[in-house]
Amino acid sequence: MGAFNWVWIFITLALTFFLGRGTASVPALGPLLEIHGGIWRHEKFIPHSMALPGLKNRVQVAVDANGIPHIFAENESDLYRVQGYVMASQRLFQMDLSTRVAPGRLSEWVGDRTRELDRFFVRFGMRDSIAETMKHYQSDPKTVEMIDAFVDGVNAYIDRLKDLPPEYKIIGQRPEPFDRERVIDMDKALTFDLSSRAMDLVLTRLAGKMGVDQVLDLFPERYPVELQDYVAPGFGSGKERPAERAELFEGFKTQLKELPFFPLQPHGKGSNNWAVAPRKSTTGFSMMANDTHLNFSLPNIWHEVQLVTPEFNVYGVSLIAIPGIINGFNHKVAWGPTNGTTDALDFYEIEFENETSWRYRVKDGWREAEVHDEKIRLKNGGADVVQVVKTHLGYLMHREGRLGLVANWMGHRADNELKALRGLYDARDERECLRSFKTWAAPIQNFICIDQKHIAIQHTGAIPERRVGEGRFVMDGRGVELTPMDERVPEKLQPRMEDPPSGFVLSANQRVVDTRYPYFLGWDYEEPFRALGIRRDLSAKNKFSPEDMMAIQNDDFDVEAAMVLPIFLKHLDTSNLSKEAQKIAALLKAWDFRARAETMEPAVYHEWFTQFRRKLFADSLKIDDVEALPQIQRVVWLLERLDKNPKDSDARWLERASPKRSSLNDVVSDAFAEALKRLTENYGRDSSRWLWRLKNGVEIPHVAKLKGFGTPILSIDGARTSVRGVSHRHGPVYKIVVAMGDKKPEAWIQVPGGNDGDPFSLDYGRFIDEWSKGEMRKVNFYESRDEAKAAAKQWIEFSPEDR
Amino acid sequence: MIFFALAIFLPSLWLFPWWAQPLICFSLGLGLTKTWSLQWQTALVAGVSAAVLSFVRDGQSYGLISKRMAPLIGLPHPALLFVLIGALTFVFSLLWLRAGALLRHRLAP
Repeated sequence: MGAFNWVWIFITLALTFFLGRGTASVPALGPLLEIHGGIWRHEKFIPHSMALPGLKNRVQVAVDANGIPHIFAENESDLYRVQGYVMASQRLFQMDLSTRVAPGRLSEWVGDRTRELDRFFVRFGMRDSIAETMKHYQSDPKTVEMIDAFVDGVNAYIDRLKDLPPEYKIIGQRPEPFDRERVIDMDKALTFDLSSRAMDLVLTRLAGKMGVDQVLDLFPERYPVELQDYVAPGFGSGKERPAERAELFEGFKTQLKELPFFPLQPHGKGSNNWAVAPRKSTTGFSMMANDTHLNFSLPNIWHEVQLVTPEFNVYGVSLIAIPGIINGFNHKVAWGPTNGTTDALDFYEIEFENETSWRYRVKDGWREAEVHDEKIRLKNGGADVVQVVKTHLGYLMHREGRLGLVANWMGHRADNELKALRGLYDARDERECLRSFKTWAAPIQNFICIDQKHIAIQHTGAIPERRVGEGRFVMDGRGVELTPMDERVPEKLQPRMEDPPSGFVLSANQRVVDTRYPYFLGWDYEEPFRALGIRRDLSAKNKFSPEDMMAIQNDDFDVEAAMVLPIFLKHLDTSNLSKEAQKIAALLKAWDFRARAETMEPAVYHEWFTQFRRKLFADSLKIDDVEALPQIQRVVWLLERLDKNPKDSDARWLERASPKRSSLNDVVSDAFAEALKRLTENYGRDSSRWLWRLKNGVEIPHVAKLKGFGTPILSIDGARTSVRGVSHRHGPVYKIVVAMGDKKPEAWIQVPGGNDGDPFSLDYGRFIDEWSKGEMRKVNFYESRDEAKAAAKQWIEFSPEDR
Repeated sequence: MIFFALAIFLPSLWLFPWWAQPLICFSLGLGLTKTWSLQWQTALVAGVSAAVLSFVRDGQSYGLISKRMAPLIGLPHPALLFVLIGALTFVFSLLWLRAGALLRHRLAP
């Protein structure tokens, strides 16, 4: 054979090999694109009737016109088994992927890109934490039964899977059987997401440069009344609690030269909830609204479902890979959370006996750390070994010779959150609802409970009892004998409000209690703007209808802009502005502070504020991460002070940032010019095209960030600082309004992205348009199988296998 | 030959995994498609069949597969996914048809 023929054969074999195996960056295109079984084929859902192993009785599932399953079972075990099966049939890939984060198992699929993240979670003690929580759960037989039935249902689906969901084909992986730990994995991942924001390391670095007193000034615990809001104002009213003072921190300064990377959770991850009492409701019964603001993803992190047994009938959303319902309502009560945001993560410096020892100093001598190795399997078949070092103060994150830094996280100390949630299903009134949370430890949440006649809100979870200032900076672990955070705020002082005189309760991740509460809970809460907006809306009328509640959820009034812009405009030097810039300033002056997607005013205002804040702090404090800058409310406070008195002590921040042009007028005007320059660079010269939609850039990516599987930028009104709190990748991923009634409640809901997580199904992108427009849909809360069957689009019967 | 190739490729692409394609093309090259011209025509039929069948499958999913997969693999328009599949199948089939023909040539007395 000639050389040409050999080349031909080589190319043939090479292409075949490439199509069959792919490369590190290109998937195996042969199996992926084949007509027979590749991405073109994806099996749908479940047949009309089927036997399911382990069932005791028949179970019926009515899938309504919205694609929502309503599951009717004779007992709880059967219920969760079928819930597991149904959820897996709609969300298997998402369940599999999401439960790999906390135990550090992403690299098995992804490879090098997630290696550091996996190492971080393992070093942080997540695997230990998952095992410890499992022990807690296993001490309650009902919880074990719940988890086991659910996991069996998921595995029954995996066993019968003939054709993999498309994402598995794309990344070239297969699902592996679920186990009990997967349920805890998901719980831990969300708990970390919600309760691991800690500025301790950032502030410790800053304090080293500028001193503690300056840090306390820029990151204060207390603000003036008009810039503040509380979940439970006046609760625990007693004496004024002492404020933080620089002297409290004088005794210790860390000797660590480097502080490690620790992912800083961004602000804006939060939620809204509020409730109005019967006297403020047009229906004569209590009403509740709740929207949970989390990372956007397709499929949605929530899975909407109705669960019915002879003992209870409950509707709401469950978290993927977790049995039961997290947020929702039954006939008698409704409940909904927001993130509590109370500080749950601290750092300690510890001292080892010598450079190689694992014995570390405690008050009266030395104590041995628990050290063990954990393996992280990698995509290429190799493995990383991570040394996990546990002390009584937390897990070792960093070591410099004899010194170490340990992280102490409340999320490691779970109780039995599933039991708490289960208690809600048959709660009969608001008090029983609140009592159910006795076994809820983490993440700390502000739960609202309502029944027909009563409303309440409670800061729920294991709230650490702290000294004033505890958790601000890296602390000295040498003298700490007991495990910190083990001391909890007593139950009777757990912040709550029941049927307040105002006729409403609300929370939006703002500060929980005012200065008359006896304990220090932390300082780094969410910006107060959403809470102030809700309070403003709820104070504006005497009576609210369900439609009014939905309208408040869609309120795009930008509370921050309304506070800041008048001061900005007052101090803007217009004498040197171009005609175009003057026109823009005039438009801003006439703006009604509504953050509408298709207008330019919010884009200009927010860019202006960003540039002002950056000029003021980013360069002078050398902080790259915008999330680590002094809070927006601190900037607003500074503006208000300097507006009233140019010689206020806050003037030093202007001088420090811009020594040559240090008046408020100078900095405001320079920031305006810089904002216009940036907007021109990003969106062109025509200012009418500087749309808020483009700047806010709300888009919903696929859970694995697969390009093309998410949405383009959506046109949605609202801003991070309006009640309708939407921003680039965060926002209300679940919205509900529940109006309690004489016989049964009525509810309206919206969950962007349908229940079916198959990216090639019509249901995958369902409700995104409606959600973007702020529309809600009425919930089908069925009383009986017959009612559900009559309205069902699909009716599925599950039967015990041996019948 | 075109109709014969259609009768072979339409069902085989629909019913068998991707690795059946080289076996079929190799066999055809070994026994039937003796000239370059016939090999080209047969490969073209395979490519067109694959493009048409993927279009049909996509239609069953309301066009969502091509809509999502095209950006994922860097194609600017969903329709180009069918072109890509057709082209890939054409090249792949031609390579194996030719490989079969080469072996026949080698074995010929």
